Amino acid sequence: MSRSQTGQPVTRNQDANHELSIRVRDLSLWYGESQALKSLNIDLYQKNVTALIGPSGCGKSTFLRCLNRMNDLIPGVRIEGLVEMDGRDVNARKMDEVALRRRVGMVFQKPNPFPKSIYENIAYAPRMHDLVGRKAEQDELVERALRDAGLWEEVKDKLHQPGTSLSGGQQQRLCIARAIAVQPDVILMDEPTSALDPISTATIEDLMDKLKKQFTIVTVTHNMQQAARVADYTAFFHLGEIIEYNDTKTMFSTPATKKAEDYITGRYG
Amino acid sequence: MGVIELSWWQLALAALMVVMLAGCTAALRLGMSRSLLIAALRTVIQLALVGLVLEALFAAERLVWVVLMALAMLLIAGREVMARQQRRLLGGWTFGIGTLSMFLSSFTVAVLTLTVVIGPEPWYRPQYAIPLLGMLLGNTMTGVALALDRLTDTACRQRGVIENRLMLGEPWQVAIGDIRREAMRSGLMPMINAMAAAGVVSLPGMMTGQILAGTAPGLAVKYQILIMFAITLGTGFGTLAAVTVGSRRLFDGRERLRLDRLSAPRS
Repeated sequence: MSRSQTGQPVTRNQDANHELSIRVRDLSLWYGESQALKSLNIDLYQKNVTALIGPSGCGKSTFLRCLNRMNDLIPGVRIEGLVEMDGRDVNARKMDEVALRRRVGMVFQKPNPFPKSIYENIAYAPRMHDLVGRKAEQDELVERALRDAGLWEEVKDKLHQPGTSLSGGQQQRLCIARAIAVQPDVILMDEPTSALDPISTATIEDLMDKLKKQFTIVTVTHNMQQAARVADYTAFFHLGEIIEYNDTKTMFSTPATKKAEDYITGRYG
Repeated sequence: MGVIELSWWQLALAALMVVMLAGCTAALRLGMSRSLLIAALRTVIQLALVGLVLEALFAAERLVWVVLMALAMLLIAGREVMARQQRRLLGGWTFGIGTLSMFLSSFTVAVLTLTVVIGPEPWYRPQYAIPLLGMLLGNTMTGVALALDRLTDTACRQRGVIENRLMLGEPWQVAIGDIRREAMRSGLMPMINAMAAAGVVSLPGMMTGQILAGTAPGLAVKYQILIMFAITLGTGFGTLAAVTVGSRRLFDGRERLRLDRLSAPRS
């Protein structure tokens, strides 16, 4: 059985020398009576892409939403266990949600630009957090975020048009630019490409590859090829448990568990 | 100038013409003659009853009766606010917020207008207090109902945007700021439009009524201006209170958007 009780991947990747970003220990979550997450242990490393895969309803998104305390939107949710980011307990009573969320950006399945200009979509939050002062600084930040998100060339001449006027793939990159503009440590992505066409999907995947130099990325995906292409580590979820967690190469070439193998090869799920 | 007495048979003439209108709509198959007649009948019965109540109230001129009447009007208005929502805040919050904000704004403005501005003797004289409060409540109710409906409906439709803004580390007040402004605007717009059009497009009902009753136009105009300002104040502060408490209720102490506190939309 290769389920790692310590939360570390059973990796054969000896070069792996990464610093810990998020440490999860014995994390369980209940929606009322039904248990959605069962005592999860996982270590997520800085400046890597970690993909969460598994059949629908297996707890991937629920887990993702535990990392920035977005989860407990639903009444009757009960969370036990530890989620630690840079050594601080995310679920602690005295944790400042606003500060936490600034450090953990999120990109949703459906792009949802604010009904404002492209420029304002990006500049609004950093201005609120006092990350920028003068107009020139703001301009610089907007350009940097758009360049990092690979959107600058396409929109530099229409920064003051509404963000909603862009195409779906551009909108999603705008949302990524918006998330990185507040300079988070971690970016969570919940099926970021499932609403996009193949070309936009490829662009976003390239982007993830670039962004991991600066950010820790955790992404949920239903697309096996995508996980294989972009992720350094992959965790396979099934019925609220992490069945297998490993470096992606090992996971996809020689999965240690039957369930993971069946899922990856498409025999199941 | 006095008022020309109006007798029931004269009203019957007007009623006959309404029946004729209903006949016409029935002949044209507009499918509304029935609701037209029912509404007309309701007008007669409800206003006749109110007339009786008001006459008794005016004769008694007791504070306790005025207060009871005012409370009854308030509760009915609160129920009406609730009935006009696509999505209600569960646990009686819509009724509570609506009633409380109407109470705070309408009652305060009514009492202030009575004691400071008009100054009848005694200040709660039903002839002034009840119509004033009625107009205030009626308009505030519309504003509060529109604003709350817009607030909850937009919050539901823009859930993704709000959650994303929370995820960017915005506190809830900022994350819902745009929607709050929009809700305020939709609550206040009818009143602003009414003030802008007053006298040019439409002659306001109360002023027309006073003129019909023999008041000099100059005085009627002054009363109308006073009433419009009072209504604007009532609607404005009522809407402000309702939107403030309502949007607070959409979030909890942990900066989470709580749409589960809303009922499912009515189809």
